[in-house]
Amino acid sequence: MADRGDTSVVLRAEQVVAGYVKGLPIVHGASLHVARGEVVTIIGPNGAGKSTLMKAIAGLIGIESGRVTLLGREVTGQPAEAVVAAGLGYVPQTGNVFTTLTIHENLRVGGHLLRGGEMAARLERAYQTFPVLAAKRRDRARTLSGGQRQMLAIARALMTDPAVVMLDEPTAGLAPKVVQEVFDRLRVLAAGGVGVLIVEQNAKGALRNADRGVVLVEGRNHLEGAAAALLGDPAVGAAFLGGAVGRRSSPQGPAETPAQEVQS
Amino acid sequence: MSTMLLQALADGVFTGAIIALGAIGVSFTLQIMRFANFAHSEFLTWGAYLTLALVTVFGIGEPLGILTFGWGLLIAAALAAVLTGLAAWGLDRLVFARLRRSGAQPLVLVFAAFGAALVMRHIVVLIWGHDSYFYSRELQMAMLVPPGIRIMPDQVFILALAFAVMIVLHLFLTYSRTGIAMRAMAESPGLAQACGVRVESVVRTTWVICGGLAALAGVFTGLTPQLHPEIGFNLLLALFAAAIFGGAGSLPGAVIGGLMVGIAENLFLLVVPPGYKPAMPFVLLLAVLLFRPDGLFGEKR
Repeated sequence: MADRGDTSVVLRAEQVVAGYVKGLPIVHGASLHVARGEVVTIIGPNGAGKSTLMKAIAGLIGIESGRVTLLGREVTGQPAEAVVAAGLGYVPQTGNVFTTLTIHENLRVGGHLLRGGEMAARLERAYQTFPVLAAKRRDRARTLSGGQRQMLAIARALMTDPAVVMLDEPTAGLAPKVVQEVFDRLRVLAAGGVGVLIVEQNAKGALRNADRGVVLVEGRNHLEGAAAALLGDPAVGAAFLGGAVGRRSSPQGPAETPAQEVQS
Repeated sequence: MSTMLLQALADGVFTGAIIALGAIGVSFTLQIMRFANFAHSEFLTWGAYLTLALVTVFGIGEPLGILTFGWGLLIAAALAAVLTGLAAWGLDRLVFARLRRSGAQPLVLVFAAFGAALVMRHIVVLIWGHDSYFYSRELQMAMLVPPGIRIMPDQVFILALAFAVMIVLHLFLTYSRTGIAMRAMAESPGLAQACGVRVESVVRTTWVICGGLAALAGVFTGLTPQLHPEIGFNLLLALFAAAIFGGAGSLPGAVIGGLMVGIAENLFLLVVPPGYKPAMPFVLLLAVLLFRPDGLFGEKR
């Protein structure tokens, strides 16, 4: 990833301040970028503002300051539908499929911005990529298993051919075998040139399957770097990976880790 | 006795179909706009009086066959439906949209709707007064259907038209891009937005459809037999009972809810004095909320 030039950056968020209530931000100046073909994961403790940052990027909540650009175009503070049109696919954490609609209808809503001809082609492509959905296209999405729902949510977000796909905890509540299936899917997606941004509670799993990681603490960038390096970083291990990777005895805790501290 | 029962059923299906047309709008506003729009009944009144204004100017046309009205009334009703739909959207822009933007609670919207209803009703009173009006002075003989049920030809025509409109709406919701987007919005506005659905355009479509259907319900009520400024208001409870009975957001639910309320009201009249008729929707509503809080066809939230 280090050799990628700036031109390949598909999503960039700079010093984003955002929250649900104006004047009470949860994200206090977080920054990140995702390049074409790259899988980036945001990890961090509960309440760090990971999901909030995603919603702000997606245009679902207001941004108080900072900038978001998609494919070099500024989309800061634009409504969600405009951000989708600019090239973002977003899969929220919960309620990421329309349970009362059929699988086919879910995909059609995903392609809401498409023209008739494109729609048919993308639906065909979605069913080829996800044969399990093709078999159940007339069924309501509520009949799908957790893993199938996640596949539908991803297929739905891909209908518009986004440059970046953002997924909020895509593996939450899934069986271990299915978790790897979802991660594999995302890798394939990235290999096809899409930028992938994942928020994960399952930090270890996410880092194993990502190129880079950003550690968010209290709404600010805390650490960032190559996923492998973060996995091996004892401070990250102690604080976010369940302490499995060699506990450090620093009395100040992870906030004082020098190695890849972000200057902000 | 069985004739009386069948007569009550036939009358119930007829009023039920009209209630259903109005209840669809209540149901959609409950589910998509997320508030109880107590001004909805006034869309019925507006539709009925806009049609009256149009037929006063252009006439109701040569009566079609055994009906009391002609093409003039049908075209006027269609125009009034469009105008009422736009008026409903206008009311949203003027009142509800502003409140939504300011982050008002659903209860505030409900009270605003009460206020809007009063204003709308009294605009009608201001122009037409409290007198009753008729679309047509033609008298109509009831048809006698074995085993002795009396049905007006107008009623049969209206019933068929009401169901045709509902079928078209069903096809629209099932197959059209906008219809699917409406259902998506009904389930999850945030996710719909994240799919690129423009909230404002769905909101507009919803109001136009709800207002239009309400207007038709108003015209149909006015045809049997007369118009007065409370024509919509008198149906308000029936509309809400039907919408909640069927489950918010469900088209088949609203239709079946409407028919159930219509039939129940008429059956009720067989056993209790007419003075208790207004209580009927409440009884039904209580029964439904007790046994199926999400309505017969409602989706669990």
